[in-house]
Amino acid sequence: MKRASPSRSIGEPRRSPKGGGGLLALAALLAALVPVVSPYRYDEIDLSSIKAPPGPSHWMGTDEIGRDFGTRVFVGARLSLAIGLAGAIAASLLGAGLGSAAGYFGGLLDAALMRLVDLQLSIPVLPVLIVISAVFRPTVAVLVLLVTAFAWMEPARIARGEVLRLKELPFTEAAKALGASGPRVIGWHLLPNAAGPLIVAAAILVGRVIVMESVLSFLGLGVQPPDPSLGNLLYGAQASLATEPWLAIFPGLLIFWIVLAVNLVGDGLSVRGRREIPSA
Amino acid sequence: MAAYVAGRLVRALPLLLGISILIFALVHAAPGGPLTVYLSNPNVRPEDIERLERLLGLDRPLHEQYLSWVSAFATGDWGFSYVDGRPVLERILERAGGTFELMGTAFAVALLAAVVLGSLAAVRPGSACDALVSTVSIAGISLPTFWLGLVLQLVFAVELRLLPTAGRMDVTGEGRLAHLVLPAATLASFYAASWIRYVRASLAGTLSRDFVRAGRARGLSEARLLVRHSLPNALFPLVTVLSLDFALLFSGAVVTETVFAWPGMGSLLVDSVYRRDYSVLMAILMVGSVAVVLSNLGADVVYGWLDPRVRVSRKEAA
Repeated sequence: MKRASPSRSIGEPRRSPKGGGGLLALAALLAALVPVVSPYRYDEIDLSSIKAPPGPSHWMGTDEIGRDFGTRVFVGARLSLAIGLAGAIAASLLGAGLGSAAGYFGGLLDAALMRLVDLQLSIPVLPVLIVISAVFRPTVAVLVLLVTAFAWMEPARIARGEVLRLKELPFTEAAKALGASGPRVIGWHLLPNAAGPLIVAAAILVGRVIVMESVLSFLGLGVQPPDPSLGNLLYGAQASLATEPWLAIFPGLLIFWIVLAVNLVGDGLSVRGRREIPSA
Repeated sequence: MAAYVAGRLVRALPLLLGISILIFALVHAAPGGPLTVYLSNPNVRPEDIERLERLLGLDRPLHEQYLSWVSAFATGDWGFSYVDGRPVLERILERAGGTFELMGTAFAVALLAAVVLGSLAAVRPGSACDALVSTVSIAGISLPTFWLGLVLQLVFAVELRLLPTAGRMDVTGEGRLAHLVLPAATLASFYAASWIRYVRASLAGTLSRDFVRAGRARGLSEARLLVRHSLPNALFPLVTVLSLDFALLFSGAVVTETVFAWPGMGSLLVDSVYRRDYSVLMAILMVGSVAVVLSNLGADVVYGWLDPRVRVSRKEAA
């Protein structure tokens, strides 16, 4: 059973990916610059200004041991962005590789890989990730691998579908007639032609990986303090919601900003890349 | 039809077995194994652990352990919680109602919102209303569920004091509806936002088809055309999307229940994670996976029932 992406139809408002790209670039720029130009270090404790609300000297307030929250939020954004990009790229590469091999070679490999995709799609991902992270206490690198292991299925399906379509076309036959090996046909001739839909999927994966990381960290199971990530800054924010609401607002606002930006990029790109899908 | 359903069921079995192997392997690969909870307890001596391992059969070969676990699980014997010694089935059953209530409400609210907003957008393609709905949809998809929950708590419970912050009812057992509002809205928002696009795309396609034009030519009112003729046709491909989102909905429920301290299977899962209660964890993961497989199966069956062509073509393909 395959899930068709919502086909763009009749007069749907079209967005250019530029708006989302701008938002994303701005977030990345702030994440890179704020920790550098800020007069505070992200781990600088100032016990004389504990739990200060947002004001002229601390734009996003301070936390329970007086660290400048704005600086921490953007350092956290840096880590969350890095995890999101790394996870999405790794999952897309893995999915593209496995999916295109399945589509090209067919047979037992195809059947086995697609059963694995079905199986992984039938497991509620977040509960499993919660259990795994609680059990194995992953480092940031392992966290990226974990998320990758549960995010490669969609790129794999897309790559497989594209390869099944492309491998019947004359240029593939020509490449094969010239003696190109299977991996060469896939890597040089098929995948570049399948790049459009894969890039759209990758853009949307960035957002999904960032949300996964932030949920795990919010539960205290992902990125561990003292390293700030947008998720673990929210860990404990719920308890002080009534007294220090800014601790809950700013990290979440930044997650929303980044995820919205990548979704807008994916959405804008898909207008160009997507062929019209016939309705059922 | 019965043969079709039976065929789908048989094909779901290997999937369930695969999932059970994965879950079993996961818990047994854990450092410390299933008895981790006792390792950190200073009152439990090493010889007690050995005795427990013999008693629970943890010293037997892995494949034997797996077989006895999976056959016991299939017959409803889910073992006992390592934390309080009560039967796992009992602990899950007392929480299942909460999860069903939350997921059911969120599902209904999200579907209703998606149909209403999606229709508003599809009726006048390219209008300001369409653009607004599309913006709402993409913003809703991008909102992290757990943070939306925090913000709703902040606004409606802390600042405005209109609704309770957490839990499923007051100490007196009253106020269940008021307690349901915020968690259900939190959980529903993402799904409403993502389903809007499917409703809009499908309905806009349907509205431009010949039978709608024919209906209009015969003088049917626009409202009747929409509700009686177009929507049923447009919503039917949505069955697949809804059922595939069931897995995500369960994941969303885990987060939402945790944020709102809602007594359901999701918050039980997170509690059990913190306490290393592996027997409960394995059972919840299995229940969640079985529910996902069954909902996908249900979608196939409903789809085949609504559209006989699917039934026939899939039989030929099988």
